[in-house]
Amino acid sequence: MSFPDNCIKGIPNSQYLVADGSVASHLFYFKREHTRNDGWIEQSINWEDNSSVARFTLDQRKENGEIQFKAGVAVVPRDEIDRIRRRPTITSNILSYERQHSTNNPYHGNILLQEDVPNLTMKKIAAGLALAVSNIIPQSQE
Amino acid sequence: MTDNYCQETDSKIIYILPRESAFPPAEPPNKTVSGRPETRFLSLREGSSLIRLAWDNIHQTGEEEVAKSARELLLIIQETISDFQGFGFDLGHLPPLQAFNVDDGSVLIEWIFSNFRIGFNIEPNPEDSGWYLVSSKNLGEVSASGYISNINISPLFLWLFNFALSNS
Repeated sequence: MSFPDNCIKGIPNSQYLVADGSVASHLFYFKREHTRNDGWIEQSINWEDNSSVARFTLDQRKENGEIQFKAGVAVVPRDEIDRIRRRPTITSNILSYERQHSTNNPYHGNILLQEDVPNLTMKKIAAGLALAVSNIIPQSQE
Repeated sequence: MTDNYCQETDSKIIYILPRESAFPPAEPPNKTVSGRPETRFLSLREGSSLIRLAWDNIHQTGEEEVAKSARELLLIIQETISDFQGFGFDLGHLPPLQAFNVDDGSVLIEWIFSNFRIGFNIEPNPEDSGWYLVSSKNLGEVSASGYISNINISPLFLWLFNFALSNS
């Protein structure tokens, strides 16, 4: 399966933004309630298959019609995720990613973390992902 | 506190003097008559601009024990910062520490630089609280973390602070 150079992570609200233009690491926390039967914890992203995906993500709405990512989106280079996966202190096969198309979202995918990873390590990985953000595109809609 | 350190001028690195086996526990600027200091009522001293934003955000923390631990950590951090200011270091280029109330009940205290991040997770279960340092490829892809329960945080933060000073 092929992947583009970047993935797009939605920023739900301004609580995740820092005044200097970066994002807080907890934007990338993996949540235990998103654990699947196969032992992976999902973190939802969109793959930037073309130049329209950032706009597509900014336009995503909840079931009630509200804009889903009120603060914008963050762009994460895939090779930076691969670098985190290869770090000596990140034991093999605890971090991965996938595509997971849906009928409404052909770009959807997940960054994946093994469920048995300690919270401390999970939060360090989240910080690594936040550090890897290459661009933040603010939301322009109400 | 400054008597406990010696400074290597070129590298900006500050070391504990050999006679000191460990730092004395950091104490807040005000003390109670007995028991642990009540950090809710402590005011920040002059020159605490690096932690003020984080300090203020912790006022919104719902879990009081978590908030208390976060404030205690910030006071320890402030002690180190004040010591460096006492040495005459200009810390004006350093970004302020941030604090975030996370929906898992924890507080994240994070120091965000362009090439690295230093963070402290204050968890509802104190045994789970920890720290991390991650850096970009330019700074050698450091990926370090550990727990902070039952350790002396001052030397840990001094090490992290030296990293921040040397690479910012």
